[in-house]
Amino acid sequence: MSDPDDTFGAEYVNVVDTGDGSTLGWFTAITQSPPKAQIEVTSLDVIGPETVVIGERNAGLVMWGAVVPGRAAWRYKTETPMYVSVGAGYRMLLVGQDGTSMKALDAASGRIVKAARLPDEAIGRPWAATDGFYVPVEGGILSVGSDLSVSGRIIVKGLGGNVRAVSGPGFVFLMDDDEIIMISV
Amino acid sequence: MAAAALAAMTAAAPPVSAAIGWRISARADCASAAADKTLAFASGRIVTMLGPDGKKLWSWQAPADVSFLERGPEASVYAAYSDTLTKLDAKGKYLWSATAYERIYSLLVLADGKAVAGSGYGALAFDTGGKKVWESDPQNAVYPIYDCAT
Repeated sequence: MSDPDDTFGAEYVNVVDTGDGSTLGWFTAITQSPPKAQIEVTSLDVIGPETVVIGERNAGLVMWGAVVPGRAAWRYKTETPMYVSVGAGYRMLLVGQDGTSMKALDAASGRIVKAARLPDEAIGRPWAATDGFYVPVEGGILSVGSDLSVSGRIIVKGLGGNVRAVSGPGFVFLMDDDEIIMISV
Repeated sequence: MAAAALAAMTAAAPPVSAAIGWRISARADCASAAADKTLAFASGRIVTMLGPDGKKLWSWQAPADVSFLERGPEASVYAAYSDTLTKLDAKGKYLWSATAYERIYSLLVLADGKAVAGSGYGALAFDTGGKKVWESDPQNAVYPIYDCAT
């Protein structure tokens, strides 16, 4: 995925053979038929070895395969989510533009399986947990189950602003506007 | 928010077992962690490596603001800034740089150690020694175009 004009969204998605750089497919039109000349890709999440879910400004979310790329497996028309995260078992978490509305999407079928609301506004992209997601909020992290129930809160005093997370096995680094915090989970 | 409502939310979200290992004051523009709990992060032009205890192991200054960091084989670090990809060794020693011709917008290290940079030019792959092994220019290539609207 590339963003040559440094705009909000990327403009093309290519599938490239990493062995020799040859192009396997070019994802150009996910919005309408006939295809638009320009697309605005807002997110791209790899959900399997040969499948990705692509967010496009007008189309919503589209699941697209690299091996048989001629057809979209499914499309889910939605406003551009503020955050899209991939969890275990083909489950995706979509957080709406208001920062509190969330939907659980089954990435295998493209169906919304649950909708709920966060008690606090998400201030960063959630990341996957064993059975659900962690959602950074002001002053802490919410543990959200795959059924979207909020099962717990990790208090992280001072956490605020724009939070990004880099996670690994048993730990996560949280980075807000002025701190880096390592948390064992 | 009413105290009762806040209490209800707190009750619905009990504390989860977790521990803050360490915290430092720093602005991270980009970062990359490894399984050994080391963290490489960039703040402007400065790339810093933190150990598992949060203490600085080394730092290196790039010629321009660093946009992307990735960890490579043998604890190496790839830093992308402007149109350039640089590889550092495990101790922050400069190893090599390569050009992606135009500004780099994405960076990925593959399982085989190749570093792939996506730039305004296209995608370029470099082996662990910095030799370009392939490039893909999507704007000029000729190949099937798939219309997923159908």
